[in-house]
Amino acid sequence: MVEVVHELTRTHIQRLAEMGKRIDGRDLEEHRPLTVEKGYIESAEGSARVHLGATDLLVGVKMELGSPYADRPESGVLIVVAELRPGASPTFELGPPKPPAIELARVVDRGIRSTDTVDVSKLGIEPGEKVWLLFVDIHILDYEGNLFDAGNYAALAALMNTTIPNATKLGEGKDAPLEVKHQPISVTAAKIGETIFIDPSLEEERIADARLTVVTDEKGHIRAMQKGLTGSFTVDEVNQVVALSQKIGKEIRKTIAEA
Amino acid sequence: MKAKVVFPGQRVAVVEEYIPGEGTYEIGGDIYASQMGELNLDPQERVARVRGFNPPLELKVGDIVLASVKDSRPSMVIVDVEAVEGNERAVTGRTEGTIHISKISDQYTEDVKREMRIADLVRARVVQVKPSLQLTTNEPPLGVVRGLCTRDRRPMVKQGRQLYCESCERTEPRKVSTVYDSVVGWRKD
Amino acid sequence: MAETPKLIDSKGKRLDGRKANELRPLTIEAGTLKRADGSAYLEWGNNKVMAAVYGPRECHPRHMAHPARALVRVTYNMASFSVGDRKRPGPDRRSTEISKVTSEAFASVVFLEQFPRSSIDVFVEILQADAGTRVAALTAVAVALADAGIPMKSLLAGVAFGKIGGTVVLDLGKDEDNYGEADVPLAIIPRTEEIVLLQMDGDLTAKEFQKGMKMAIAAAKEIYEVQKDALKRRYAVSVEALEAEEGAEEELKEETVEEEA
Repeated sequence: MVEVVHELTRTHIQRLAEMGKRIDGRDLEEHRPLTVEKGYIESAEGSARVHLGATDLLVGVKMELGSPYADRPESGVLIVVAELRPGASPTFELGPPKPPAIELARVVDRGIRSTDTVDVSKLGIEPGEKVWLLFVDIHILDYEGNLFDAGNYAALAALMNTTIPNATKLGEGKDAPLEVKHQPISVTAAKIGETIFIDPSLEEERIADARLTVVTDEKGHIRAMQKGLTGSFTVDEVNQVVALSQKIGKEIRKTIAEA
Repeated sequence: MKAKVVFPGQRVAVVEEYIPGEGTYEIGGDIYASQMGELNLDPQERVARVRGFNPPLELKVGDIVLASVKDSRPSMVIVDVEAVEGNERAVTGRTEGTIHISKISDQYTEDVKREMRIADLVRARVVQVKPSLQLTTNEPPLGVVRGLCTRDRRPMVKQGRQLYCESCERTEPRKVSTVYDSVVGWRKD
Repeated sequence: MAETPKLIDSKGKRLDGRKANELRPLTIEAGTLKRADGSAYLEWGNNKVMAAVYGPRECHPRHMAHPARALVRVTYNMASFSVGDRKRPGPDRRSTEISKVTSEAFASVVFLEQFPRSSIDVFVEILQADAGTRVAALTAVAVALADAGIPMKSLLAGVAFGKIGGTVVLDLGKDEDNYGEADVPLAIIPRTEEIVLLQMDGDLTAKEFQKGMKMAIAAAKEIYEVQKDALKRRYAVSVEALEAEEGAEEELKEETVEEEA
């Protein structure tokens, strides 16, 4: 596969980084242009298409009636699923979700869940019997790096765009907008050699030694984190990424709210 | 010569006037385009050709490629072509090729294993496509561009005309390319 | 089940105001994805479809590779949010069948022998489903294959006809599909009018079938123009440069071949 040759760009990327530069001309702490289109899919209860640079993905929110979990009989259920569709990259294969897709879904889920972005306790209908199941499906169209952040932005935007289909699917009351109480924003950094790159592009991501995702809320509190890959971070580096996540998160939160 | 954009299935010429060339096919005396591209009706050679805008990546003699070493024999190394320089598209068809001992270096090669080892990445030029794929590294910018230490499998650095492993402090011989570890530009854009 | 709505009025006007032989609005864009070797995005009625082509590339698994020709593999997939009730991710019997007949349709037009041991892998994502997703997929895939520079005898146009309220009509909408009496999805080579995909269910007389086929063939030619236009826009820079060149050389020689009708 072509992928193995990308290790050869490492020296070039590191040399540029020593001068504070990146292959695509960005600053080390600069994310790629973000565009958010809410309500892209009419067949979903909520949706958003997000471009983060050339990374292109779609989140559809579906609401269905189903049974609650036994230990939370009065609560609705939030489920995040990610699919790395093989059209999105020559490295994605057909078949059931593999570890990278599962990690992606779980990290996006963690940011939403830990902030109670959606209050699932309000999504119960008949305790122990019938509740709303809220499926957040992340569908990758074009993979150009950093699915964690793009997935988080699209999921949040799609939830903000979601209508509870009370009239259409439950047959009681009126359709109503889903209440979104918080806006957790994820910012991911890659470490290559000794350099931290915010919002890694595909070139950077495939040679990265370590990856760190930090999700902050509107108060700037840290709400979810995930370190990945085989390299390590110093405590100072982690603090640096946290500070950047708080700063960049503010700006992105605004972009998503205004979309 | 006249240029024109044509689409797959579009009639472009008749066999009384032209021979069907690349990017075309013939049925019942008519020549049709088989891909979208620029139609070229060559009045001298009387050949109708369509040059595609985004052709599949077929290896051609002269291409500079990156290949990984799969095996070595007393008289050659066997490689798998991973990519064509400047093109991110996957190579079509057979990618397995050989570099004959006489084409590894411009100097006399006594032992193939002193020039290339399994899992090395080499930059090579295609010298033959059919009936078998053959390559050469017999030029200074060609040869090993990333070599792994045979003891601890880590990437080594270039040191003069040899490779040096920084972790076990050994040097190993290779046919080292002058652009060792600095190949860039594998994206289409 | 709700009462069957009146799908067509006495003047031959359909629920969405279309005439019997009228297609829903169709737009196509070629080259919409960066990673894929060829791609196309299509909107047809309320269908939203993305097609990606990879290859010809080395066939994996290797035992499936053919020594003398390429393998065309189309995978049709519906996104979980593309329909009213969430679809469970992954292949089901319906999508497996559609993938098979679509692969076969394209194998009949692609010059497979030019790429021995290779595969041409096509992935179609139905992002939003109205009726007629398989012919929408076919139409998008043809453009994506051309965008990928895959040599083919011709583009294919996908189109369906059916019967509603006793009338043969083109391109069924959602309600027409649900309550109509027949549905016939087709893939047609526009120039030669050859049929490379045909499925049918419902109830049609031979005469109705012939009438529908006539409509479908005329529609295929219309769709072919939309496909060509998408490809022209994709390569607008190349096309413009060529046309400028052509203008300059206009007086040199008379055109030897006239444009297809």
